[in-house]
Amino acid sequence: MATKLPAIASLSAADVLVANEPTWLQTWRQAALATFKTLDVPYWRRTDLQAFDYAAMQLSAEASPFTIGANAPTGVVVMPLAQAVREHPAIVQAHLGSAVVASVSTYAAINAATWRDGWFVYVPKNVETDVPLHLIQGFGEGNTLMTRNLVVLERGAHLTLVEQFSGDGGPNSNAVSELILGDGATLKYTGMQTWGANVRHVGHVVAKVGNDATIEWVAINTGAAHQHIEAETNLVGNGSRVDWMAATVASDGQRLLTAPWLRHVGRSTEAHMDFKTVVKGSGYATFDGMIKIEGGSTDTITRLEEHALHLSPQARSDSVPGLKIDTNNVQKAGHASTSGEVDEEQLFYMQARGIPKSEAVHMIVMGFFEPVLDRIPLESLREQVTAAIAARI
Amino acid sequence: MTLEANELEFDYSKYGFRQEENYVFKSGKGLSEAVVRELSMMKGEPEWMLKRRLQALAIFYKKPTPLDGAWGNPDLASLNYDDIHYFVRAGDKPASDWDAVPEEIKNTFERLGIPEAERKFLAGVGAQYESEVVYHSLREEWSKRGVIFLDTDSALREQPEMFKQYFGTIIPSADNKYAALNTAVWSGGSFVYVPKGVHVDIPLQAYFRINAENMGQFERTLIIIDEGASAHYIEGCTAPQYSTNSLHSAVVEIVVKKGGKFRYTTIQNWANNIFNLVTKRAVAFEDASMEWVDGNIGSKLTMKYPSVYLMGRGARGEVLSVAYAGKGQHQDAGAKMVHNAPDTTSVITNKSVSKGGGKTTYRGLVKVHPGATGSKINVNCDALILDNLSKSDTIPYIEVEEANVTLAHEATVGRIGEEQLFYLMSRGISQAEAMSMIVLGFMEPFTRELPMEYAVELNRLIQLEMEGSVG
Repeated sequence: MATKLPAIASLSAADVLVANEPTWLQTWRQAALATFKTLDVPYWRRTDLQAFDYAAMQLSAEASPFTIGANAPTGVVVMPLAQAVREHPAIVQAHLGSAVVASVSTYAAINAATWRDGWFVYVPKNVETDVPLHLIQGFGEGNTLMTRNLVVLERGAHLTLVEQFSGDGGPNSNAVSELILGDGATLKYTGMQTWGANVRHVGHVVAKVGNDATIEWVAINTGAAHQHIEAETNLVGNGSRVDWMAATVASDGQRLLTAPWLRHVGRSTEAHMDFKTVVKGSGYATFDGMIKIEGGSTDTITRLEEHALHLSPQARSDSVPGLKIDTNNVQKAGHASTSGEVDEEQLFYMQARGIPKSEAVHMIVMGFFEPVLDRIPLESLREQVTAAIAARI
Repeated sequence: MTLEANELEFDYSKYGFRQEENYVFKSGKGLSEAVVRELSMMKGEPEWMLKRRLQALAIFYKKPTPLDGAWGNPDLASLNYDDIHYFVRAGDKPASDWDAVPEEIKNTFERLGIPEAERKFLAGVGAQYESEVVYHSLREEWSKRGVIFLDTDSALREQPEMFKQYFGTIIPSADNKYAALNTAVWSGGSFVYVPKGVHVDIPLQAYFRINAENMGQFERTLIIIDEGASAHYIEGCTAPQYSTNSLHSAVVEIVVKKGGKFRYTTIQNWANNIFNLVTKRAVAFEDASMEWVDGNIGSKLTMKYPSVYLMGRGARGEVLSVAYAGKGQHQDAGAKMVHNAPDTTSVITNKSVSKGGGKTTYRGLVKVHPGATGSKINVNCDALILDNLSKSDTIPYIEVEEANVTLAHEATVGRIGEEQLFYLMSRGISQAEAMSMIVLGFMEPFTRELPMEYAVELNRLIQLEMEGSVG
């Protein structure tokens, strides 16, 4: 039987120490706990924070089991983050907390103070691999998961990575992922929230993109009862770029929120965002996004497309496609957002060709998601997700 | 080719003159229950209005200044409520004869071209100086047909029933801190009633002028367009430049009944040290049409989001707005459209230009409630940033709780294309002139909706603002 820590609200500095961890990490955890205690609950006005009330929770003192869905590609270091602290201390210390800073929210802070689980993925300089790495995270015995993944690509490295949350249990999941891309690196990253129906998931995912580096980011959100994901692509490097797509399905009882931030910091950075959402039954999905073009960036190109399809009158979708632009040295900046039903004309056309209405709706919705789902790198996984979405509509 | 902003001082020679302060009454600085009681007493108001004012004052005190959050703005931190005169009476009562208006005030409005405009193309005119309306007239042909156009203080006396029926029903005191403040200390503004089926086909106009330093102007406007009626109301606002801040916080409530049509046009050209915190809202019933045409050129900080609540089947709302922010200015403007009935339509078009360190923010809400099936919404926001010191934010909130809806939102932000400039300059046009032409062209969808006199005036103002914009 796993031992438990005291309730989160009454954790002391001594409680967050983990046996045999180096002093720098002990100090780091204690600083995060101090930050947690000083922070107010975040201003997430479209999220029901009662679903994420951690005060009385007791965390397990041990790590949960977690698995690699496929073999690690050659040349890539993949191991539990706790092991990497011992075996690759310099790399971990250099990057841990550099993308998701503990002070961004109470959830990020408590994760930093108490994480036990999570992966370390390291791709050395100029190592390129096409073999996708599939990491799956599930619940162990405890009802709360504090997981932390650190992914570091050195200069010129290439990696295809799928990070998936899957299964029932919990129900509380607090996940942090830090994606660090060195100069000229390329990361094809798929983040999948496919939790069981009772799960409450808070996520912080931040990618820091170096000079001339590229991230292709695919987000799939279909699981959980409550989801609040703060995602950020930080285009710090000159010539860095992101191609960011998402598919979200919220059906009965689900409240799924994604808050993607896109920061243009470097010169000549380029971003394309394409977020697609389907709401059904009493489902409620929120896109609360922001594109920020910082004063020092020049020749920026940024474009956001955001579309919501409503399959039932009770469903709700909110979108806040924000733009904050602090420079006039912008090549192109814009966003477009639409909401509505399945196109009547398309339906009519298909029905006129003898396709029953329900099937026609189905085909239109799958066609709507196709450009996103096509980006999932593993064929078996792509089929699995496609089938799961198809079954929902 | 680089475009750089110069330090630009706007030429206020036309608006910047100050008149001697020669007032009948001027309240001390600061706000208190005593100030509210005295104001109400001097106006000889009924008891219910005093009560309403005092309730609103309590709400004002209780609500925090919205510095952050969805509709907050940190710029509000520099607004000092204690440093403002809440009530200044310049004349004894509104005159309907121009000759009866006190000399200095008459001078003011003559320099601003008010009586001249009335003779030319207006159905009625109101002119407000500091807290109260000093001149008011409506052409006989309209009063004969039952149109009411009064200053709001007179309307409370002369139309007590209609006044009480609608006052504060569209924008309750608790709506926001500034609506509460206005309800507590409101003075002046326009009251318009257009009876069933009457089409007032030339505009009604109100002109608002702040003259004194540290003056707070809190006009209150209530407009009722009865079934099948139509009208167009235009307001203009100016003030001289002082070294300390003034506050303008209006509340405008509008009801457009079944099949009615109404347009409300504002050209806001307050001096660059005025906080302009305004709540404007209309409800539109079945097949009614409500249009806000809103130009914001002046002020230090404007926060204004004209709204239409679409309450009946087939109602239509439109907001067409432009904002121009120069040095030290923040135009935080936008629109709200709330769809509460089937087959309702809304259109929001926003154009903004920032320059010389100015900042423009588009902030808007589109809300589709359950049951508003067949709603159609179109939102377009375009921002032009003229130099590297200036900023632009776009924050649209979209909330859709209905499936059978067509909603499209589109926004772009950019600078003046070097190709466009090159093309114009290769035809012998100077860079400054070319930029000015491009900006005017960018705003043209707005200006073409204005009566000609206003369009010419707006273009002139923008050209003035653009002067010296090329380094």
